[in-house]
Amino acid sequence: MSFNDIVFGRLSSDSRTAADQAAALLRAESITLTYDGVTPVHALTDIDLTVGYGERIALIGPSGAGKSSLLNVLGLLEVPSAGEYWVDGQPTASASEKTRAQLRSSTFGFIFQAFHLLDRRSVLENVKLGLFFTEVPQREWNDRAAQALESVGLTHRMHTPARLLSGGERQRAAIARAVVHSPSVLMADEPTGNLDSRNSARVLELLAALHRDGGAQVIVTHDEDVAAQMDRAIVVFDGAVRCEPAH
Amino acid sequence: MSTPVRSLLGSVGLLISVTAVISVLSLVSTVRFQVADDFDVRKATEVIAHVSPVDTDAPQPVGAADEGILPVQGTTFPAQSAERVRALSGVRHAGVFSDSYGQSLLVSTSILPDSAAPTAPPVMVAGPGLFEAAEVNVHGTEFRTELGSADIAYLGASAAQTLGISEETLSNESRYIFVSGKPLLIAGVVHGSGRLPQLGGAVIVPAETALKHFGPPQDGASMLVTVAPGAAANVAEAMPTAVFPTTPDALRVTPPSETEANRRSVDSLLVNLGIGVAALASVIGAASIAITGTIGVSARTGELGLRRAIGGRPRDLLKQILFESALLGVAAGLIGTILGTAIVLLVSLVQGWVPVVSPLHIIVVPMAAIVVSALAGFIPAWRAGRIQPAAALRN
Repeated sequence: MSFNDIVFGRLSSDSRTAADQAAALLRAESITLTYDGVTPVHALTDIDLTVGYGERIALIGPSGAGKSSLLNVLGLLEVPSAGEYWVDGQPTASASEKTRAQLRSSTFGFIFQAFHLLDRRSVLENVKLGLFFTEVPQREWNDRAAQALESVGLTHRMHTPARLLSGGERQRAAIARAVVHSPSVLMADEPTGNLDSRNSARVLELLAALHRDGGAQVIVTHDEDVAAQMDRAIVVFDGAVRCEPAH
Repeated sequence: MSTPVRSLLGSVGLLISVTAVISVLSLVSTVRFQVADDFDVRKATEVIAHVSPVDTDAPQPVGAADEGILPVQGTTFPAQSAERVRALSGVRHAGVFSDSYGQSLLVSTSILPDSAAPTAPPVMVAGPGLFEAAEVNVHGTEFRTELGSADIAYLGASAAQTLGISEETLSNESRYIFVSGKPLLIAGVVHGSGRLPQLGGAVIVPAETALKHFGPPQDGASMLVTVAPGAAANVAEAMPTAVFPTTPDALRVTPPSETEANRRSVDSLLVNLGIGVAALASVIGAASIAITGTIGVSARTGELGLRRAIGGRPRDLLKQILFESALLGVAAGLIGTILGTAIVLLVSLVQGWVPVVSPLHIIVVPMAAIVVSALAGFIPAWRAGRIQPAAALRN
C-alpha cells in the first residue's frame, strides 16, 4: 500500500471495538495541542488514538503534519492543551510532573533522529544513562547495559567514547539506551532519518528483533517502506489523524 | 567551546578569587602580627615627651631659678630634668635628644667642607642617659656613658657608612669628624637604635658640647623614657610635674593611648582591607560561575532535554547543575587555598616576616567558595529546570 493510497485512497477511522480500546496500552481522546503565540499554532486537533500492547504503529505523514508533536504527547514529553490521555490505564493529561516523569522513565524508551548521545562519555555510560531515573538498583546497571549493548551488537564498542562512533553505531547505542530498562513502549522519531540505506535497514531489523521480545513500538517516519513493516499506519495530516491497518 | 573547557574557565575566576582571599587575609594577619609585635613592645615600655623652644626674653615662672628650671645645656629641657624623671617609679632610663639642628650644621670628614658630599648625615644632640634609654650598643675606642662636654661625637652605623668611616679604622687610629669646621673626636659607632631609628643615620653630639660650640637647638627637644611594663601610663601622667613643677603644661607627653590608637588604626585598616578584598573576590567568583554556568546550560540544552525525556524532573536538573557548580567550588577552593598559602609563605620569606596563616582561613575560605559556587549555580540551575524536553530535543 502506497502513501498516496493511504492519504488519498481508502481512509477509515480506527475500527476496533470499544473493549479493545479500553484495553489499549496507550489511549488518547480528543487530544489537542496548541502552541501559544502572536499567531497560535494548532499542532494537533481533536485526535483519538490507541496503541495496543505489543503493537507496532507507524505515524506517517508529510513534514509539518504534526507527527513528532503527536509522538511527544504520547511519550509524555508535551502536555496536551485539551483532551485526555491514558498510559496503561492511568490518566496523564492533568497528572503532576512527578507522575509524568515516573511514567516516562518506566514505560517509555526514546530513540531520536539526532541520537542525542553524550559525546564525551563512553557507549556503556550512555546506555546506563537510560537507567538513571528508574527503580533499577545501581549495582545492576553495568550488567543490564552490557546486555542491551549485546542485543544491538555493540559489545566491542562498550568503552569507546560516543563521539568516535559511526552514524549507524550511534543509533544502535541510542537504541540500547532506550531498551536497557525494558520499557513497554519504544518511541522512535525518524530513527533512520540520519542514516544511509544500509544502516537504516540494519536499524529497522534491530527494531523488529526487539519487538519480537515484546513491547509496543510507535515510530514516526515519512518512509512508506518503514510504514509498511508496521502493524498499523496512522496518517497524520494537518494535525489530524487517519488510520489504516498496514496490512 | 567544550564542556570541560567551559567548566575550567568558570572555575578559574573562582580559583583566582580564593587565591586572592587567602593571600590577602593571611598577609593581613602576617602584617598585623609584625605591627602588633613592634607596637606592643613600645606601648608597654616607652614614653616620649616634647618641649618647644624657650623664649628667653619672656619672664621666667616664679621660683624657676630655685627649681633649676632653666633653658640650659643644649636642650630646652630644664637642668636635671632627666634625673628627676629617672627618679619616678617605674622609670628605667631617660634621656633627652634633639634633631632640630637639621642641615644647619655641615658635617665632613675633613677640615674643609666636602662639597661633593651632599648626603652628609644630620646632627643630633643627645643628653646623658639617652643611649641607655634608646637601648643602643656603642662600639668604639672610647665608650662613654656620660655624655659630658668633651669635644667628641658618635656616628650612627648608617652615618658611618655614608662618611666612609669603618669601625676597624677607628680601632686603629683616632679619627675626627668636622661639624661646621669644629673637630670632634669620633668616640664610637652606635648600633641597634630601634627605639630611635634616626640615631642610626646621624652624627650624635653630646648636648653640652653642642651648646658650647653651636648654640641651642632651634626647634625644641624631646625626652625618651623607657619604663617597666605597665608603668607607661603612670609615668606619662607624672612627667610634666617632674620636669616643670610650676608649669607642667609646658611639657607635651605622647600618651600610650595615642600609640595604641595608631596601632588600632592600622589594624582596623588592615582588617577592612581584608574584608573588602574578600567581598570583592566573592562577587567576582560568583559571577564567573553564574555566567559560565548559564552559558553551559544553553550549550547543553540537548543533553538536559534528554535527561528530562528519560524521566528527569525539573528539580533533578536543578540538583545536577547545583552539584556541578559546587564541585567547581571544591576544586577552586582547594587549589586556591594551596596557591594562596604558597604566596603568603613566599612573600614572608622575602620580607623576613613570620608568616601567619590562620587555620580558620584555610577551612572557612574553601567552604565559602563551595557555598558561593553553589549559590551562583542557582541561576543556571533555575534555567536548566525550565527546559522543556520536547523543545530542547527538537532544537
